[in-house]
Amino acid sequence: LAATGHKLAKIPKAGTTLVFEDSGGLLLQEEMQVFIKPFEEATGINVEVESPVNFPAVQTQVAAHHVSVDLVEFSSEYAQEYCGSVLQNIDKYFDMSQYYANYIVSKCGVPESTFVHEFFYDKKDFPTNPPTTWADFFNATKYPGQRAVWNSGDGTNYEQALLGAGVSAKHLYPLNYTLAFKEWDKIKSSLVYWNTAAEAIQMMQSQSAPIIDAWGPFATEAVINGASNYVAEPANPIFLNNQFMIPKGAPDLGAALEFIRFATTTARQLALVESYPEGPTNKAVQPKTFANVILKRYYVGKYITKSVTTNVAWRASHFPQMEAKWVAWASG
Amino acid sequence: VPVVAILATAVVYPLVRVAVTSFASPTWGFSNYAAFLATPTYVNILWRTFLTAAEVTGICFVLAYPYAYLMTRVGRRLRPLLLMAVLVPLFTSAVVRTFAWFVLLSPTGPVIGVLGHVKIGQLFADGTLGAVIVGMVQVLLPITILPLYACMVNIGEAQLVAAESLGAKPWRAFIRVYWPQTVPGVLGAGVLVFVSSLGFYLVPQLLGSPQQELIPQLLYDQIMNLLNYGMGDAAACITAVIGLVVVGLAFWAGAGTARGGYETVVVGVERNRGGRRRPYRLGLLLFGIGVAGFLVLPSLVNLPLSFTGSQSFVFPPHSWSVRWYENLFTSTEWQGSLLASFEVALASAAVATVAGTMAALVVVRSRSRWARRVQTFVLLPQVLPGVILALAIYVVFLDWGISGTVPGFVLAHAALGVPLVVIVSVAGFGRFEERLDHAAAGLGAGPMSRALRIWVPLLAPTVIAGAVLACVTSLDEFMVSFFLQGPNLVTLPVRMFSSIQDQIDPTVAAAGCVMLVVAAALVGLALWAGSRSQRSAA
Repeated sequence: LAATGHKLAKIPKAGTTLVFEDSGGLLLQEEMQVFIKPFEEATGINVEVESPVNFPAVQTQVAAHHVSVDLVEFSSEYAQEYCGSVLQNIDKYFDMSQYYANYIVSKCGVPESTFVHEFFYDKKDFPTNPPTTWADFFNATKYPGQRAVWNSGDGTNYEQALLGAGVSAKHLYPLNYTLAFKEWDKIKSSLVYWNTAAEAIQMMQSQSAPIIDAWGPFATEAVINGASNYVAEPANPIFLNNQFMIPKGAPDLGAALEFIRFATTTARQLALVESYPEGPTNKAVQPKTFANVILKRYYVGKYITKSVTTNVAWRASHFPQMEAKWVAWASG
Repeated sequence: VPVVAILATAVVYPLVRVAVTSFASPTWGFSNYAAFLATPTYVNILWRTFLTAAEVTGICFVLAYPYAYLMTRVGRRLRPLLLMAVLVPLFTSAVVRTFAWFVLLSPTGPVIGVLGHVKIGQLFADGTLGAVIVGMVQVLLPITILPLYACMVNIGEAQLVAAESLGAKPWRAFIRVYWPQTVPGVLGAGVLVFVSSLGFYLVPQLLGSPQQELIPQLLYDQIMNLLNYGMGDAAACITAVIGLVVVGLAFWAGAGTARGGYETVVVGVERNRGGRRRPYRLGLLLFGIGVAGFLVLPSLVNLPLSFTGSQSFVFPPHSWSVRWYENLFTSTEWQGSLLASFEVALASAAVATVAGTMAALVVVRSRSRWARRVQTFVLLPQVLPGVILALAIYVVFLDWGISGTVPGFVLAHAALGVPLVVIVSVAGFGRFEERLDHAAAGLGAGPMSRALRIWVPLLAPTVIAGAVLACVTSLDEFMVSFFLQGPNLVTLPVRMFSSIQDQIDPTVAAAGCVMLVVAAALVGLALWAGSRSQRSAA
């Protein structure tokens, strides 16, 4: 912070408590080891974690001027959509040039880490000639069997379908819902749904779906921890990112800023991406060694050459529409 | 006054806020209602919700009516067993019971493993309507059986004997004499089950798929994911209004006894039990055993899963360990939830018992028509879909800054416990013989002596029974706690739900087994208190 030339309104003190809302799950377990506990040890500030993120509660707290949450880690669309209304500008406190430009979405978010949406197939079901593209994913004739899919309109289900239909990554937005649902219609009878990462991991552990459309981090962790029949197919991996955000009126702005600074340093980011299937947002982070060889794949091959980046601004302003249309299609 | 204050604060005002927001957000008018009704998907989900609730109610009735009938026919040895088969699941967390089905009906679970090869088995696999209905029926069956039993147990045997001795065939005697007397119980049970089904989030979320999405999930999505309070509240209001119309029609048709049957089971209000006990057919007994098995056996799947050696719900376990029990009693999170649940349960039960007992005394002793209206008003939390009440409380408590705090939880849970305390207490106090008090006074006993030697011994069992019910209700409460949870306060049912949905933590199975034991002990205490009350009254 000092390096950026900005002064804090209040210097964080040891012994105070920082209330941190986090996405939770496996990521939180990793964050605990990589920067939450080290931050507590380094600063003496106690971090109280709440997960998963309850954004309506944060929104209501801000509206009622009764905020108890200091810091939120959540998807970048929220940093875009609620900047200025629920979230406060924090970019002035940081040297934003240290982060990849395509992950900076608003003045209210600091990029924490990236992750991908991709699909995994069970090599028992596809010992030869496995599915390798999104087009294959949507081809149940050539690749029969159930597909487990996230039941969410604000994930990347539309983008996946459009890529499967042959739309180029550069022309995904505005989303063509009609074309996307035409693709999903083709495999609707083969779909089973998961709502949370835990449900999808359970499906992988029980090998109940030959193909699983998943978030890269939890599915990769599941593979590392025993669901080794599944293989990730990096066909146009769709990159997303989580951001650190601070609600307006957060009780301890100083501690929240200090936490963000700590968690996004080169050392902490390196520790995260070397041991967990997420990617860095800090340009200086270049991992060389990995806790598991599977993690290395994020830095080679199609993950680099064929990755797809989402249009956060478009998605953020169309979340209700995306969700409503998905609910209409999936529940029909 | 305390009861009215609790319900006004934790039920009425939040509901009014929901109604106002549905018209006021984002702008004043009917836009949310118009948008909801103009969206075919939402109307379909609304229709599906009512249809599913009707199906669940119908199936519950088909299973519960013969079972309750059997309970009134069997002897002293079998009856407690049938009663326990109803009460133990009732007081075992709905999360635990739903989790059991989640495992049993999973693609690798025992039920689908056996039946999956035949077409009918696939109809009940996780993600199907069949799974949702099976789960909801199992959770709601106890609250269907109890009002029916409460009603049937008061029907005199002699009437059927008389009808048959006058030449009526058994089925005609049943249709003309027995059935009409059970109609209030049928309607009462139907109302409870139907309303509960409308507000059920847990089962469709864990066992269903988007094709089975119901109003509770839509509400949750609108509020928690899209932050669309106006639309969510409009959906809640539409559901509540239609639900209340159904309840109103049922009450109009005679469901005045819709009190859950708790007073009969716990306090032991039974009349007209004289006469010869009629025999029952073997087929009915086998049917009853089947229903009892359906109620009790699924939860037993928790036992082996609680000893699994891996962090997985795959059944049967491939390795064995006691680490989930160790985790339950040593991890900060689970310990925190255990303590939080007991803290909230004890505090809310205390509040509900004091307020509910005072209200019951007013209802029993006052001749005012307002006192009777209070009794009806108190039932409000029981005739509203759970998710709507939870949503309403959540929004208001957030605003007041008591969401996620012990006072907030205690207030909300006390509001949910008060109806049970009032129902049980009114039934128990109603049987209090004031002549005993007058006689003691006539013999020279002072007020203190009468209070200690007559009032307390006679009324204490009823008060204890009400307190235990309020306590167990709080311990098992999920929906409100799910919305109100905060970083420092996650109750055990919510922790268990999270461990299923977000973490794959088999500690839920260990917690389920522990809760089963605790619930059985509390049920035993309530039954014991009830039998004491009965003996005292006699």
